[in-house]
Amino acid sequence: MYGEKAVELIRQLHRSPDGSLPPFNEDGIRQVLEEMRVLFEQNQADVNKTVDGAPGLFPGVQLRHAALERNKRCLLAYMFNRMERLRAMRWEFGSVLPPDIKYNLSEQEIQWFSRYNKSLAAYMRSIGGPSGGGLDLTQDLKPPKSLYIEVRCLMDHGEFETEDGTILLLKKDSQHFLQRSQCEHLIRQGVLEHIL
Amino acid sequence: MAGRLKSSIVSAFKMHGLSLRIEASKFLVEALTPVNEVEREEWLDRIIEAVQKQPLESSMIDRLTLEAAVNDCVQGGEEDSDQVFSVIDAFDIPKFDYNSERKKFMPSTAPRSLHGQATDKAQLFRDRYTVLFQRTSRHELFTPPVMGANPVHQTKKFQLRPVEYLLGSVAKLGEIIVLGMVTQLKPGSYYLEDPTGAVKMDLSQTNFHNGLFTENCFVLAEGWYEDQVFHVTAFGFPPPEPAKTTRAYFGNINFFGGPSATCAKASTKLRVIERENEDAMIVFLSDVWLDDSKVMEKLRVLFTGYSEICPTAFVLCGNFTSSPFGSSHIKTLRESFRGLGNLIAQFPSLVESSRFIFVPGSQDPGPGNVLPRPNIPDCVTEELRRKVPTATFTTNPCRIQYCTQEIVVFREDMVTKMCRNCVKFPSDRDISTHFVKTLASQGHLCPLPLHVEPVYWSHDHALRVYPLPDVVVVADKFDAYSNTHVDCTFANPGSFACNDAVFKVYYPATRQMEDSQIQD
Repeated sequence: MYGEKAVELIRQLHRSPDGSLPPFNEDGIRQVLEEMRVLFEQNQADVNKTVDGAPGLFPGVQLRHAALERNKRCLLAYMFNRMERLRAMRWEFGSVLPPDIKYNLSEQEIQWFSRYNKSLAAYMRSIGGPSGGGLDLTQDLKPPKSLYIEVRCLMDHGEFETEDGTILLLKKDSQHFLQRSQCEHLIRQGVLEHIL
Repeated sequence: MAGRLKSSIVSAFKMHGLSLRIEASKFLVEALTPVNEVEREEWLDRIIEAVQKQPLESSMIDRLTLEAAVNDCVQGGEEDSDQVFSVIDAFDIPKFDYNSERKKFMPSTAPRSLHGQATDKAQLFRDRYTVLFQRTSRHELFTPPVMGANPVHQTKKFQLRPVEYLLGSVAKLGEIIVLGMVTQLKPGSYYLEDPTGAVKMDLSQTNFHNGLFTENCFVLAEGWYEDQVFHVTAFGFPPPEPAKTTRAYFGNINFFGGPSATCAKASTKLRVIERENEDAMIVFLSDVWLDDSKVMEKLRVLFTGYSEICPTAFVLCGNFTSSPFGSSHIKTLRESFRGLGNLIAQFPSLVESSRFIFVPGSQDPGPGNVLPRPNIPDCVTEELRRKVPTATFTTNPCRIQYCTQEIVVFREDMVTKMCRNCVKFPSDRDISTHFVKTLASQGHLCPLPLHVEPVYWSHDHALRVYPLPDVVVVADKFDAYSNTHVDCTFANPGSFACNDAVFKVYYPATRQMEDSQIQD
C-alpha cells in the first residue's frame, strides 16, 4: 500500500518510550523518498499523456498525488517530532548530550542542536536586568518550595565551588545544605540526590 | 576584581549549560586576567565555542579540556595552512567500525598492536565483510522493491542471502545470490564463507565477470543450491560505490586520517586553494635504485627539469637498491641516500618548495615482508634528512592529503601476485583493468590470502580504500597504466630503473594523470 513505509517511521518513533530517541532511520527515509520519486515520475508521465489528450488518467493522478502529500507529511512529522524531543533534552540534560543519545542523531540534528544551544544561550544572557550575567531559564523548571535544600552525594565528585566562593568537598555519602540554584545541575547529572 | 571576573566566567559557562571544575575556572581566570575588559567578553565567547567543539562527555568541564580549547582558540588562524598538504602514516590511520544497528561508522577504541590476538585475525575478515555487506545491501539492485512502481519499468531486484540460508535448507534452491569470501577450506575445493558459515562451491559451469578473483576475495555468487553444494552460475564482485555516495550516507567523517576532524572535502577554503593553484603537481616514481649510476643520471635530468617550476611533492617509491640483500646492503643504501641528498641540495629551489616523500619497497631494510611496512630506519636516512629538511620517510602504504584530494600510495608488486593466485585467470590481456576493478570493488588494497601477503591483523584497516580516495597509486614493476574507475584514478608509475625512466605526474587542479619519460 502507498504510504506504508512512511507510517512505519512514525510508528517506530511513537513506540519508543518518552525521553528517549531511537536511531535516525535513514534507510527508511530513503525508501520513502524513493517511493515518492517513483510516484512523481508516474504522475508526470500521466499528466503529459492527459495533456496530449488521453482520457481517464486523472483519478490515478489524484490518488498518487494524495499518497505523495501523505508521505511528505509523514516525513515532516518524523523530523519535527524528533526535533521536539531533542529540544526537550536540551532542557533536561543540559548542553552536552550523553554519548549514547548523540550516536543516534543524524548529522543535521547534531548541527541543529548546537545552533539551538547557541541561540538559547545568547537569549539567556541578554535577559535578566542590567546587573549582567543573564538569567538561567533552565533552572527552577518547577517553582522551588525553599531556597535551600538538603542533598546527599552519590559519587565522589571532588571539590566544588559555589558562586560565593566557598569550597566544599563532595564526597560519596556526605550530606550538605546548599542553595538550590547552586546544586540543581548536579542533581540532574546524578551526582547529588535531593533528600526530602 | 578577580572575584568579579570569576563570577562572570562561571555565569557565561552556565548560560551554555556547562559548569567548570574548580581547577578549570582558576586556569581561566589566570588566562583572562591580563586581557582588558572589552576584549574579555569576546574571548570568553570564543573559548566557549571552542569548548563545545571538543568531544565532551559531560557538562563538567575539566582543566585538560579547557586547555585544549584555549589552545585551539589561540592557534585558530594558523590551523588551516598546515592542512594543505599532509602525509599520513599507515599506523596513524583511524579505524572505523560499522555499527549495523545504528547504521553508522564509529571510531574504534580497541587497542591495536603489531602482535594481535587470535580474535584479531577473525575480526580482520569480519570487518572486511561488514564494510562490503553494508555497501552492497544499499546498492539499488538489492534494496527492497518500491511500492507501486510500474512492474514493466522496474529493474530486476535481488535479495542477498546469508550462507546460513543455504545450509538450513534441504530442498533445491534456485536463483540465489550470496555475498561471501572465497576460501579453500580443503585443498583443491573452493568454499564460500561468510560470518554465518561456509558452503562448498562447484565452479565448473561458472561464468566469471571482469576482475581477478583470488582467494580471500569477497564475491557475489549467483547460482543454485542442491545436495550441500552451491552450483555457481555467475561470479561477480560486489558493486563499487563512488566516494560521493558514501559521504552522502555517512556525513563528513574523516575516514582518511590527518589533522582535521572532518573530511577535507567539506572545506571550501581548501577547495579555493586547490583551484587557484593550477600549476600544482605531484611526481610519482617507483623503483628508484639509488645505487645505480644510470638512475642517478636520470634523476639529475629530472631535477634539473623541475627546478624552475617546482612540483608540490616528489613521491619516490622503493626499492632503493638494485640488489636486495647482502652484508653491505645497509651501507650501500646509506651512501646512496647521501648521494641523493647531495644531488637534491644542488637545486636549492627544490629543497625550499618541494617535498620529498619516500615510500619503502618490500626489499628495503625493515622488519619482514608484512604490511603495513614501517619507514626506513632513521640511521640510514639521517644525512639526507639533514640536507633536505622537507624529506619525509613514511610507511608503505601511506596516504597523502593535498587540499581536498586524497591520495593513497602503495608499493607492492600486486599485479603479479594477484594473477598468480587467481581462481581463474581472465582470458583477455587487459590485466590492468581487471586489477583496478578488483581493488575498487573490494575496497581494499590487498585482497590476497594472508600466507601470500601477510598483514598485521589489527592494522588491516590501513589498507582499506573505502570510501574510495581520489587517487590510488599502486607502484608496481608491471607496465605503467592509469585508469579511472568510479571517480577514482588508479595509476602505476612503472619501474623507473628497469623501464626507461618512466614516471607519472598528477595535476590535482585538473585531476589529470600524465605519463612521462626521460629519454636517453
